[in-house]
Amino acid sequence: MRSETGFDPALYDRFPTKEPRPEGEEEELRRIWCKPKGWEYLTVVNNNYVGIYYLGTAFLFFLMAGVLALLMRAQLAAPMLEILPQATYNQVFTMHGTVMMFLFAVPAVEAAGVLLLPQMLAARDLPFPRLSAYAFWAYAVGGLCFFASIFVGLAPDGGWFMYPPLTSKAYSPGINTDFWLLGIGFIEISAIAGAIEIIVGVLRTRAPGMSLDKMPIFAWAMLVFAVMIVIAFPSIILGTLLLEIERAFNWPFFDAARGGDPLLWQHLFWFFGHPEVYIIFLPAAGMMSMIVATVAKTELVGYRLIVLAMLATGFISFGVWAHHMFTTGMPPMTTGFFSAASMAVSLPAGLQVFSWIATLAIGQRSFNAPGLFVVGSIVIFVTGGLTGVMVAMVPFDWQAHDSYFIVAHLHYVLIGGMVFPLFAAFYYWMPMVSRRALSERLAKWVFALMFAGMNIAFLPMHLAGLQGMPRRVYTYLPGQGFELPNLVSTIGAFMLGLGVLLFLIDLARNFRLAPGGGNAGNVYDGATLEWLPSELYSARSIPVVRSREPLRDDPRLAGDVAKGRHFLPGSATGHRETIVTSPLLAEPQYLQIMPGPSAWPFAAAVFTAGFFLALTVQAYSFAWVSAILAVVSILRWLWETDRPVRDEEVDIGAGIMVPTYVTGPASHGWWTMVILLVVMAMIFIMALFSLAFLASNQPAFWAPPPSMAAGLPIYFLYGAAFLAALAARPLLKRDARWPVGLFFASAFAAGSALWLDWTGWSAAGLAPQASGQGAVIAALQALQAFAVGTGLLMAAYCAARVARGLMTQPRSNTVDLAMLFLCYTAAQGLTGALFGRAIGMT
Amino acid sequence: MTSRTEPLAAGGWPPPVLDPAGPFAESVTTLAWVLLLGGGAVLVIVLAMLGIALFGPPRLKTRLGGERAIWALGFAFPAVVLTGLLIWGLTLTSSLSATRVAGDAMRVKIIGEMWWWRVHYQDADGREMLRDANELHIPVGRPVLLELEAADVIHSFWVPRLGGKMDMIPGRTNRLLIQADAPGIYKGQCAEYCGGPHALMGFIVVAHSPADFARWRASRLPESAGAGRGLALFLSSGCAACHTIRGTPANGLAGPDLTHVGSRRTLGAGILPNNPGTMAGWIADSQAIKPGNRMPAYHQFSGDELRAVSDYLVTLK
Amino acid sequence: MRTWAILLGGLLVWAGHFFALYGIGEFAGESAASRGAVLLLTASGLAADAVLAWRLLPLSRAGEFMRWRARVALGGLALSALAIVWQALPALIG
Repeated sequence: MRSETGFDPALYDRFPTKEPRPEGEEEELRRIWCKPKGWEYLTVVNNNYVGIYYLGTAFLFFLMAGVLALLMRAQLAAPMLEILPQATYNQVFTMHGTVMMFLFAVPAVEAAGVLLLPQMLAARDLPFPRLSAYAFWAYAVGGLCFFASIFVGLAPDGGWFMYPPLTSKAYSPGINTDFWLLGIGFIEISAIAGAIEIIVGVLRTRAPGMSLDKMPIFAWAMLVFAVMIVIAFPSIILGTLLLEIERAFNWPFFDAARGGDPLLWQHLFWFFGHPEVYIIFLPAAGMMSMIVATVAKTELVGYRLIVLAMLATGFISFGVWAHHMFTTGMPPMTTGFFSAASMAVSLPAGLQVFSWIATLAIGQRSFNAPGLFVVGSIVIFVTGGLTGVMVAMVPFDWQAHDSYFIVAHLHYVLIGGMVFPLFAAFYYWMPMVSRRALSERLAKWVFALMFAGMNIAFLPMHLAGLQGMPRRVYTYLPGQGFELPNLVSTIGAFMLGLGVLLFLIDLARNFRLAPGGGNAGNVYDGATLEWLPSELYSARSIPVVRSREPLRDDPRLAGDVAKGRHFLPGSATGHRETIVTSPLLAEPQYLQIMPGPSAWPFAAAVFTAGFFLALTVQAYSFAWVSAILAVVSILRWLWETDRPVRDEEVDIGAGIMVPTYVTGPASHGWWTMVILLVVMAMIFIMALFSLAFLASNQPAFWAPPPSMAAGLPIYFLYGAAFLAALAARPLLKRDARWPVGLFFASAFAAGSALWLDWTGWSAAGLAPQASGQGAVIAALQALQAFAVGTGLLMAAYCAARVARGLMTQPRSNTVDLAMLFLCYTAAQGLTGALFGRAIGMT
Repeated sequence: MTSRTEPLAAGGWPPPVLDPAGPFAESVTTLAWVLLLGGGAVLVIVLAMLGIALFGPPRLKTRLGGERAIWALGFAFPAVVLTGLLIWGLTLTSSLSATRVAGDAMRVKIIGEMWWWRVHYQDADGREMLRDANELHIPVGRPVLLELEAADVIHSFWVPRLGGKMDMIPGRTNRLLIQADAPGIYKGQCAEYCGGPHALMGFIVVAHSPADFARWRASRLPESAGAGRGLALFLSSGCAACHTIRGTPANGLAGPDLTHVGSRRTLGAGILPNNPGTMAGWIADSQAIKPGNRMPAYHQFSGDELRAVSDYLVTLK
Repeated sequence: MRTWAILLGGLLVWAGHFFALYGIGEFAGESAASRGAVLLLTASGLAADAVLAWRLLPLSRAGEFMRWRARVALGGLALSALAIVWQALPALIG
């Protein structure tokens, strides 16, 4: 493949350019990407700020959840202690797991992506800076309010996987559980927003010439990570939605006495929950691969094997969810499938670990701070991986499951696979964001305390598990041999905590944020683009990438880039902008004009958080006001986008001309909408799975669905809705009012179909509170109603833009995206109508 | 309360999972040892490779530093080991699965409740013969088929020395086979977090020689109700609303059946030894011993009354 | 799209095979017929991997990017084939 888009790669030879750059070009860049002042720190959208905010908040949650862990270890230091009362302990362990998984681990790696990716790919920013800001603020506000629930004794207490019926209204009547369901469901939405941003960023904003095989391994990791979020998180979003509806409206999704099934929750939870572990691990492994190569002062051995391993992990990790359910009485053949997949997923991990060892072997040995944490991480992660193979063996898992053996296993995997790599990353990338590097001398102490503490804390837990100590116990009886391992664990936990405290002291002494340049620079001699001299607009010019380690292979590159001798040395349009490149070979396609700072994403995030929190505390009128304000804020933020552009084509350096506005499948907006629709489709597919699962497990509660033939008008209306939306795109050329009319027609047709569908089910005698079948059918209709309502809102938004003369013609991204959404809505409705009738058809 | 809790069984060594007392636990223990030792050996190998990579002679380093070594050590080696393990694991899973076992096993239905266990002994046709709570009596050398159900939330039945664990899930009946080959007391515990005092939801299995088992079985048949002030207080103070003592008007079903409570080894679901003192303590303030459990504290009893009730209950053998 | 199909071919075959097997286990239960279906699916999965590998070999020597793509894809096929065989074992044993 010589060219992907028709771009002539010979044009790359024009760089670095020779002629002098015009006066004032760099000053203009600085003016456009200016620093915030005062209140503007709340409205910044630039990744250099949002990334730091994000990472800092995630780290704060790590510290708070770590304090919870120390409280637990204090309580378990000896049998029958009463440091934490039972009810408090149950909240504390639930919050520890929940906060570590949802508020620390995923956001921390997502934050690292936001902070590092644009620099690593030499893009000016991520493609949707306002979406990053929204994702961050929603997470920060929502997460902090969620955490505060523990101070008033209202924190959830059902364990981080919240199994019903323990978490259903009958056994958890308080609002503690609602805090979890609404808080976490909401934070997942923020994670998905970030994931969409990362996918488009990695695939479309790489430096020209950075083909997939030259992409930094961290970018590969983030790509797989983000795709996995898009596939896995919808399952937990649906799960939390269903459980919250069961609690609020008494629809029996998980109530076995009325045709629901508690095991349905376990499937929905773990279909998200196990990939989640790899979602956390992969970006950290990507960091490891970057750091290992730099620390060993060599290139990464087995780059393609690591890419393969990451892709394979991304796939196979979706086939292991039920290994958390080996003791639920599944038949042996089914457990066997999951056991086999659980073994298969360890093969890619083996490839990665031995690639790191191979890299260390051919490189130079150096035990600087990142190097220590890298080696420590390998040791801990391998140990956790081996106990993972043990519990993948079904009969052994029958003994180990839900015991302290599992607690030990999962902490080895997560601390070795994520926390240690993250600390290595803190040390490694600190010089990029701070004026001073962290202390190498203190780092040795931090590492020693953390490594020793970690092993002293968690190694004895294997023994406690084999002695029969179940997990999630607030105390234990004396005389079972648990005393010694628990006391040792507690001592180790406090050592680990001391290591982290020392790290904080180092941070306080040496961390001085330097987003606008003046950072400590490339102290470890990294070879990838984030080590180019950079300011708020990232590198001065966007380099042509000719190898995997451009800074090592071309020592003059940094200088050329800083002098503006590569792509986009100044601003081509006078706005914030970045080059959008093709997904495989990264050939320049067009110039994306980016939005600048805005208060609206912040407002939207605060009101979104307000909506969910108000729902939790049952302040319904406040909730609805917040919801409306959130939608208004989002629309207001969108209102400023997709404006007509003055220059249709601009020079992005060395006379290479690209358009400033594209529509259709090549545009970044189209990609984003498609990914969003994948998210919606996954939610819907998991709901369809729920229906089939209940039909198969609770056949006694199944009522015959309405007949297929009676649904004909519904199918017809959905077909019409699809075609009406589709016709909007070509007809925009005639008149901007055409698409608006067609969108309204499409939404009304879909709405009518939905109404017909629902009356059909009601006539068949199905009620959402009566049976699991009724509940899931009603949930499917509710999802469809949400889609139709959103489609209607889009039609109204288009109408408003036409009225104000803001609809670009003859092509418009706004019309394209509304078209995609409405076509999807029609297809989803049709699928649901057919599937609901097919399940249990006689 | 610490003073009132005495060790039920000393030790924890050898760890129960590695100290099997019957065939269904034994084969898993063999597997566990192989996995622990094998896993340890693999860890040593990986650490040795890491050591060579960092400190080894250049010749070995070069051999380790290429894609061939990555494939061999990171893929081929685990693939061979894991294929063997997988085949063993699948064979074992199949042979241990209660779905595949029919025949002459003794049958007991155990229902998990927040935070204790109902035990219903059944005859060969699945008819209920006898009710008890928190204690399971079995004969040695004979497989026992447990039918596990839940009354409220999910629990998990686990007696490590007799077999693996199995969840008790509302709406389902899961089957588990256990067997003890030597007489003795085997400790069990709820393994699935079930809220509140989940930590104190214990259980014991008492394995008898066949002759002893027959004697125990016979002792269950006459319903010894007793009489006197203790029973009168029991009936007049609300105890009977939740507890059954067969042969008396007490027929409550919410709490454990107390017909033979005096013969139980433990109180409070496996957490206290059973004697008149602990019995009185439990009645007076079970909330201090097992916070959150469903039995209210009976502070209203005078010391005298408390002694009468507990003396009566411990006589129910 | 073609590049992604090549890169992910083996893994997609694995995913199709796995979810089909899970569907059989969850919705059809354990019977001689489902065991037969598992083995049939396994044979077709391996055949698909073999066909993909056969079509990939000539591509593995045409330019830097193409060579890289083919090598990653071949690795994926190897992993896929092994995992598919493992996946079928529960239908043969037990």
